[in-house]
Amino acid sequence: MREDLKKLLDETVPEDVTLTEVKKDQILRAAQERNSIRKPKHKPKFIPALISVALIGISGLWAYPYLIKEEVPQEIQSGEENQLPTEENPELPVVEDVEDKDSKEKQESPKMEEEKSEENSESPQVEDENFEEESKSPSVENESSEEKQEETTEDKQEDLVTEKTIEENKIDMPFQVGEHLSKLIIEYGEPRIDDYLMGGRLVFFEGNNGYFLSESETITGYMIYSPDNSIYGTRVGMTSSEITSVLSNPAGSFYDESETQTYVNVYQVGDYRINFHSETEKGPTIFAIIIDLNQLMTN
Amino acid sequence: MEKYEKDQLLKAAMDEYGHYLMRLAYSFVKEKTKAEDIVQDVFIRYYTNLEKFEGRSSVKTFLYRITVNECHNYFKSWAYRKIELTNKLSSLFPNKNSAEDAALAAEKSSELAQALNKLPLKYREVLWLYYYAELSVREISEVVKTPDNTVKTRLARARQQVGSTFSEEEFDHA
Repeated sequence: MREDLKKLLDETVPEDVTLTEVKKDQILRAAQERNSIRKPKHKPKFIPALISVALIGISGLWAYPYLIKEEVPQEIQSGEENQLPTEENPELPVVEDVEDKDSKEKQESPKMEEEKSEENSESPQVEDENFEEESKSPSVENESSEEKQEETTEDKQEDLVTEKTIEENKIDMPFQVGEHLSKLIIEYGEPRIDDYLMGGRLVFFEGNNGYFLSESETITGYMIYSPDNSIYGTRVGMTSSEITSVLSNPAGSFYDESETQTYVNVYQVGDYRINFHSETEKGPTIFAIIIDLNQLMTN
Repeated sequence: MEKYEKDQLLKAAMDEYGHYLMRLAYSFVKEKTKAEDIVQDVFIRYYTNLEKFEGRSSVKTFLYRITVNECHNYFKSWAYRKIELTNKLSSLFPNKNSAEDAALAAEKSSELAQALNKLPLKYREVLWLYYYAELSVREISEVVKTPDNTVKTRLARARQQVGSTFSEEEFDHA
């Protein structure tokens, strides 16, 4: 029946209306040309970004041993770090063995100490270490008790950092990915909008935030308009540069012509792909689409 | 994605959907060259977006959606309004046929064709997408960005207005 109707509709259009082989070739050439024109536009954008990322990465690698406090005692124990900076490169901030340092300090002239303090003032990290070491009393018991105190303080700081990281490393939405639509309906009632976007079913209840659903009606992602919901420490309304400062550089950027007619920056955070949309390239974001790629694969 | 791979994907898409998209675009704009332009734009956009295409919607739905959007854009465009104005003016001169008249004459003057041409665009498009493009209600809702139920209502009204040709039947929801 449907086939017959298809035929009837087809007959309402003149027979010569078709995509000819000549036209196909023409389209292919035009597409290739358009693509080759588009490419150079992107080059200047990404090359500086890649260079800066590489530089940050390299500097991060160099700075890593000096920034991570907890690794210092291990290095001291191994004794490897004592040799390199002191003998081969005395200008570098030194991570010294405690015993060696104490004995050296005794031998050092006041002039040397002044020089050292000047050097230390250039690097706050090293100053802290020296200050901690200097503050150690000669008594072994006191030393060990202070070490314990330091350890507990560091532990507390670490705990705080971990809690903060956990707090930031989540998407602040009342229902989590994988939960079923029925739970949402129990909470909010029937959705006020039940639609499709980018090939995915999207439902909105109260408020400005929507949920993407799988075929089996479980949550696969979110569409967030509200600036109140934290997305890994970022929010809708922030500009792309503000978001980049939190989530690092986007994995990609493009202008979405077909769906939303907005500029899109794509970030990859764990299993999530986060698209931040904005009306202008560098302007504030107006909404975010978050998709759990695992859920997407399984459905 | 390699250029060769992209070329092959484009060729495959043109072979599979090119003919249907041309006829669908023509059914909307009633002008062959304009339909060709629209379909060309659709495939170029498909080609340039291939790397970003994530398969969240099928290629078929994606292509039909862009085609329908392009047709809508055409109706909003100054070019179309200018043609409409010219047609209205030319109707004052009985010896000159309008572009639309010429297109209609080129079509087989079946009752169905006439009935379809009288349909508002929103009804015509769902009818074409459902019966000709063989999209499901869900896919149509994605293409025209309208809820399923609205698509069903439009389909029902379109069938009513076209007449008995399109008998009542259940819409599959696949």
